[in-house]
Amino acid sequence: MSAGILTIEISTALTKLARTLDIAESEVQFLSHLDVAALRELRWRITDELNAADAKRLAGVIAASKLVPVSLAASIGEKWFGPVLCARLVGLVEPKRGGQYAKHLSVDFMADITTRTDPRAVGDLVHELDLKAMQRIAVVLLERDDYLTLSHFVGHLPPEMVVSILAAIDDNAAVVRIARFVEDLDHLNPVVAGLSDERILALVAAVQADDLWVEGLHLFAHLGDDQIKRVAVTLVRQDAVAVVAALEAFDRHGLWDQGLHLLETLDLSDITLFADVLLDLDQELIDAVVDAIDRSDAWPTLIKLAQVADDLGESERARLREIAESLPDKQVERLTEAATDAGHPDLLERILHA
Amino acid sequence: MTKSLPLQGIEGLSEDDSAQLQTMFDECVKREAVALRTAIDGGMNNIPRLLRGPVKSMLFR
Repeated sequence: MSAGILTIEISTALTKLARTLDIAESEVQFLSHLDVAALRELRWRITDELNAADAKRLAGVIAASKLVPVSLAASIGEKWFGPVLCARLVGLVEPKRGGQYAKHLSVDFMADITTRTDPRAVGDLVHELDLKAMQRIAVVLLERDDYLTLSHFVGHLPPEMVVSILAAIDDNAAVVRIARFVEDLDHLNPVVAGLSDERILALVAAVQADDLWVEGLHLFAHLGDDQIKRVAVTLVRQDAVAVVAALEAFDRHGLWDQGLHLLETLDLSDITLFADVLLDLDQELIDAVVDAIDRSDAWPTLIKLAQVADDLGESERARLREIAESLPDKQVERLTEAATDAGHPDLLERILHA
Repeated sequence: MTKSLPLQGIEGLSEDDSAQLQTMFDECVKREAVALRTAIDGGMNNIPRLLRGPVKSMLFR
């Protein structure tokens, strides 16, 4: 993992911990030597203890609230209890009743509650909330630049609900920033699967425009192979320039593992589509790609490119020959060995005479 | 004095770290307890007089 990504993860974990304790982030900096897993465990334990601290009294509040009309209870909640205590009640209230309260609360107040809510406690309540209300809360949180809260719920809501909420957020850079804070990045895969190809392209465009490559590639690396392939193929087929920008970013940020994974997922027909762009890269970037392939023993990627040599135009074939001829002897040996293993012993010869 | 935070087994946490965290946790619990009392008092004053008895008995049973 790159130092940049590690810093992001630690800083995110500290921000979340500070919120749990309702203190400034600067006050928890003394814990910055802990790793992310330790900080996360610490936060969950503190959250559990805080939830338990007034559990009996809060259960009494829930019971008492049933004696008064819903609108009055909601109004008392907003006026007197405030967001911190109402957030504690989220996990205790019956989902149906919670949904009724929500209809009487202002969007700003619900956004305040959301900020303080333990996402593990939400449970079935989300199914009682109106989608439009959740979208409005998301927009309010976004207006406050509160990516952290939005990210908090990604792993605790059904992926299709997350996709529906994201539909209300037209700021694609913000979506990347939200995703950056998601705790368990495995939850991103089904969400990405629910996004349209157009949204994927728009997200990559936002990554380029706002130079969010470290965040974007970090997220990309956590996708499953199915979505990595989909993103890669979508880009190659519709925006090859973005793939070049991505490769440059992999190089700039030392994230070649992710870069090679992107190339590996492409099949021969996609490689053919993309070959002219790939072969048009600066020699420096080509060298970086080949070195990364050599370090990771990921020769099949290069072998795929060589396999489509016959389908390339004359100038592309000449460039491929030039690249092959410029390889150091040791790399030629390893490429030949890998090509033989892959059933293409004459690969290099084919490139040189293509 | 509030409950001790269960901090055993968290890797890399020194005794000093644990002590500082416990203080922060105690203060947080105190703040929330005060907020809860204030909220309950405020809420009680705003519900119809007729309901105050039953609500009070639910809150303080």
